[in-house]
Amino acid sequence: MTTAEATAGNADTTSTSSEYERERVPEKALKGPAAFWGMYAGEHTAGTEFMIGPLFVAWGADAASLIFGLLIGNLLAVLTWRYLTASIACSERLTLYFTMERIAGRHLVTLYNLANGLLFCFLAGAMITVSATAVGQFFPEGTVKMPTFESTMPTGVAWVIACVAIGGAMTVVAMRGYSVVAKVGHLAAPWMFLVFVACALVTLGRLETTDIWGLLTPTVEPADGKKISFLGVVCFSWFCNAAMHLGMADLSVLRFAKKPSAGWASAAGMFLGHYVAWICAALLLVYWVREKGVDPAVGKDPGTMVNDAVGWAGLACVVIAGWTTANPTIYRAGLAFQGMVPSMPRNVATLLAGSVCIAAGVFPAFAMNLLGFVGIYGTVLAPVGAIIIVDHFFAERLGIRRAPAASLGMNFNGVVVLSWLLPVGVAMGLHFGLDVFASYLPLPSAIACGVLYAVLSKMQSRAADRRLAVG
Amino acid sequence: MKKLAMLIGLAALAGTIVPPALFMMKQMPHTTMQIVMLVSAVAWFVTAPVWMKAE
Repeated sequence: MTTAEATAGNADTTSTSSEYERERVPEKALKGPAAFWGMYAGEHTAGTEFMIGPLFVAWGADAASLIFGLLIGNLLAVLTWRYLTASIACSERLTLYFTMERIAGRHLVTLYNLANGLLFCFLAGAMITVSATAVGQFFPEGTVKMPTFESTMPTGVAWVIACVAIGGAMTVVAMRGYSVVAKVGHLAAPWMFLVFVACALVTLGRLETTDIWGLLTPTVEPADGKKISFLGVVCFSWFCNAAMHLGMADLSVLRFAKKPSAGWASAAGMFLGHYVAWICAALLLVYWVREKGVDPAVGKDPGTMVNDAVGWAGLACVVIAGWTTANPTIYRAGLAFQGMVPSMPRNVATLLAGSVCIAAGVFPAFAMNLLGFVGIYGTVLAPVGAIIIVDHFFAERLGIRRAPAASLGMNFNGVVVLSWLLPVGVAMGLHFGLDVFASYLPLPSAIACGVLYAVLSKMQSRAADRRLAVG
Repeated sequence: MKKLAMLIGLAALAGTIVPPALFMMKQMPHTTMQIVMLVSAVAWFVTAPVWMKAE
C-alpha cells in the first residue's frame, strides 16, 4: 500500500468501497509497521531534495541551523505524525476525505479538493523542473539552457520541450495507473539514498576535508538579505509536510496501521530524506560556491551538480527520484479534480492535472521558490487538520457536536469555512504583504483555525439545541 | 536464484557507496568511480525486483 494507493479511493467519494473509503478499516486489512517504514523512506527521498539542500545554502543557512535545526524540526514532524496523525488514524480508521465530509459537509470537501489538487500540481511541477535539469545533461552543452535560482521564466524552447516531454510521459504513466512507478520508487529508495550520500563523499574528497561544520558555514552573506534563521530551518523541516501530518492527509495511510506506533515510521523519511539527503545535497552547492566561484544566490541546477559529482548514476537518481514522486502526485491531483466533478472520467481528470503540472514545471519559479511554496502548501491545508483535532480530542469536553455535518445532515458547514479561510487569508496577507516566511505560518494558522472552530461550533451547537427544543 | 539476486543487489549497493568513499580517500580516480556507480545502478535495478518483490 502506497500513499497514493491509500489516497486513491479517498478523493473518489462516489466509488464503491474497495479501499474502505467510507467505512472503518476492518481488522483483517490492518498492516504491520514494516509497510510504513518502507513507504515513508521512499516517499521522502524525492527529486526535490536535490533542490532544497542547495536552496538552504542560497538562503545563507549556517551550520548550526542545518545540523541542529533540521534535527529538531524533523523530530517535531515525527512527533506530530506519531501523536496526532497516527493516534487519530488508529482510533477512527477513516480517510481524511470521509472525516472531512462528516465534519464539513460534502460540498466543502469539493473546495478542499480544489485547493489540494492545485497545490499537488505545483508540487509535481517542481519535480518536473528538477527532472528536466537532469535530462538536459544528456544533450551537448548549451542545448538546454539550465535555470538558476533566480529564474522564474522558461529559459528557452529546448527547456520547454524537455519539460513537456518529461511531464507528458509522467502524465501518460499516471493515466495508466501509478502502480509500476510506485514499485520502482520502493525498489529505488535504498539506492537513491546512497547516491545522495555518494554526492556528499565526492564533495568532501574534492574539497579535501571532512569538516562538514566548516563547509556548511556560509562564506558570503546573501546579497539580497534573504537569510533563513535557525527558527526558519526548524519550522521549514517541521512543516514542509504539514499537509500530511498536521493537515491529516496521512489519516488515509495510517488508518491501516495496527497500532499508532506506526507513526514512528515517518522517522525513516524525515531523517534519511529530510536530514541526511538535504545536507548531502547542500554540500553539492557548497563545492560549486567554494571551488567554482558560483554565487550562492544564483546557484546551480541539480542536474549539472549531480552529473559533475557522480555522473550518469546521479542523473538517473535525479530522474527516478523526480519521476517516482511526481507520478503519484499527478495521480492524486487528478483524483482531487475528479472528486470535484465526479462525472469526469479519471483519465480526463489526470490529463487535466498533468497539463497544469507541465505548465507549472515549465516555469522554474515554483522549483526555485520551493522553500516558500511548501510553507504556503502547509499553511493552506494544515488548518483542516486542526478542525479534525478539535473534533476528535476536544469536542466532547467542550460540549460541541462531533461530526456535525453528518449528525445534522449538512452538505456545507459554514463554521468550517469561516474557521479555515479566515486564518488562511490572514496568513496569506502576512506572507505576500509583509514577506513573512511561509513556514512560520502553518502552526499559528492551524491553532487559530482550531480555536475559531471550537468557538463557532459551540455557538452553532447552542443554536441547534435551541431550535430542537423549540421544534 | 533469489539468493544470488540478493547477493548481487547488496554488491550493487556497495558499488554505489564504496567507490565515492575510496575517491574521498584518494584511492580511486573520479572516472572509475562514476563507471562503477553506473554499473552498480544497472545491477541494482536488474536484481532488486527479483528478491525485494518477495520481501
